[in-house]
Amino acid sequence: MKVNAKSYPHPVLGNEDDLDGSFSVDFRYELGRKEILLLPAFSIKSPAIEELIRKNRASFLAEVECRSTFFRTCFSTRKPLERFSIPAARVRERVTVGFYVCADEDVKGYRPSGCHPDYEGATFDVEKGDVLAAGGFCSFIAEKEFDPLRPPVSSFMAIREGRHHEGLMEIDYDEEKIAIELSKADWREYAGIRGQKAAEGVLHAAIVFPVLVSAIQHVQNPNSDYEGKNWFGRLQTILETKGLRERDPLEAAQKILENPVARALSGFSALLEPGSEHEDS
Amino acid sequence: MRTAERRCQKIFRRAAIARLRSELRDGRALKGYFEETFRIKPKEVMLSTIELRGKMPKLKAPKRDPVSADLENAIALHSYYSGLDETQASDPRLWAYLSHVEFRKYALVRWGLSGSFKVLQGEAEKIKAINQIIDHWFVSGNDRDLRRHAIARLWWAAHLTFAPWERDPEFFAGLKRKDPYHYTRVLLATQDIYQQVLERAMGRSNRILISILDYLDQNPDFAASRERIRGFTKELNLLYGTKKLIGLDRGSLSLLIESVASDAAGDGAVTTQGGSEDGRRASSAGRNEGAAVPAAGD
Repeated sequence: MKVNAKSYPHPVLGNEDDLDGSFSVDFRYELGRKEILLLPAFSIKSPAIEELIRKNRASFLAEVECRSTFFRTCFSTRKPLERFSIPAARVRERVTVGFYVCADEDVKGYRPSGCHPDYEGATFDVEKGDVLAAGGFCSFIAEKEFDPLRPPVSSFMAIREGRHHEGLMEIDYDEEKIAIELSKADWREYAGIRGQKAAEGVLHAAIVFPVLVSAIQHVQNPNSDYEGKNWFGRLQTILETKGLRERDPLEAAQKILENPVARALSGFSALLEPGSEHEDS
Repeated sequence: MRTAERRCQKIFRRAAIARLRSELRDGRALKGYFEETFRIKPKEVMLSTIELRGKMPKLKAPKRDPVSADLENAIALHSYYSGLDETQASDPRLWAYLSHVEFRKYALVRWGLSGSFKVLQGEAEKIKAINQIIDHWFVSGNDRDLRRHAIARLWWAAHLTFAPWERDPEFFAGLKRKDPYHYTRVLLATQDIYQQVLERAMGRSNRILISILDYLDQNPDFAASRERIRGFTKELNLLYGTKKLIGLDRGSLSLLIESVASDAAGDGAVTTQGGSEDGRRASSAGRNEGAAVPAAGD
């Protein structure tokens, strides 16, 4: 899970190397028609924080946010395994879940062992609500037909007819889906071969692949202008789910499209075989 | 016996929105955003599952002071579309249809382009005009767009503040009022309150949002100061980065809001962050020197 480093007024487990130990969350979710189940499993190794939880002075906290519907809520627990639910109608598209351990009351003279040397000798007065451990965050798409494990590229990208009669293809990242616009002449050719199995790899390699590489570069850019777009959230979720978030865009795009070059070459072979013009017709 | 005819809200199809955006972006459709009439092809519209009852409200847009009608419009719109759930109310197809078709006259006065198409000179002016229309007439899929859309902003302002004691009775039991739109009135009292409170990520939490509005309601002098509101919401947002306000009980959250507001007003040196003197020294002398606290979720 991704953790954003922050500047806290006290050492926080999981925030860079503030504190020795670990805090991780194994997160699963289940999408239902009426509710979405959130199933976190918390695992923490830090004597000071574990003791605070044991003494009911701190809790695990899951913060759930959906930027499409003004939705933000949180759930607290002291149990390592928990089950929360949110109404399905309250969210759409990308839902982000962040995990923390927070103080349930003021803790005077907090001095966990294993602090970074910068904090040596210091004690801290932690206040109710303060973050003691950050477990990172993850996201999922709150849509039943969208399965990030088998993502159709069409869920975030569309090919359509452009305005120009001839010329280069154009990309528009400003819409809900990335729009690939082909010239009218190219569109006619494309319309004639799309849907044919042998042509799928060729089309992926020639049209979708370069656009996907560029889209991944946008997603990996921390200051991207497109962060609020639906395609951005979906692609980000796919990258996270497949463990490709930090990978080179060229490699990540090939993995998402399941080796488009090999599929294009085998598509060419099939198309060039005698009698293959009748395939899929 | 005659049964009432079931009426459903029309919305744009996705392809229609793509076309409208594309034609606006390349400038072809810009002239149309100065005109009250708007042609739609029947095939670009579909019926949604949103059932309509009663007469559609007429949104007011007094030319001299269109902002003054925001509250009245928000209540009228929210009452009419009271059955919308959050998923429906964040659908770009609905809001684009409402701004382009049903409430076009209102959108033109309140969020339209000034002057006429002929006086738009140069590429920069046209791009500015196009961006203004995209901001207020279309929704992409995030709440930033919903805050800015001509019609969506009104519905959401009312929805997020409508009778919080019914939505979250345990937390807001003590705030019960006769008027279910009591906190809508506070939110829309000034443009500054609306922008500063909802533009911050913490405003997505209904508990935080209503608690802030309650403070502003109780402290009208504070709420009247643009600078104080800005300083206060900025400080609260910074604090959110290190303290999960969202997990606090109502009493603790109210006290914290009062402390931060007191700091923002400059009439009290209230400490809002934990840490002994030693701790603070360790922070400032060591690893956190000069580092800004990122706003949560922003």
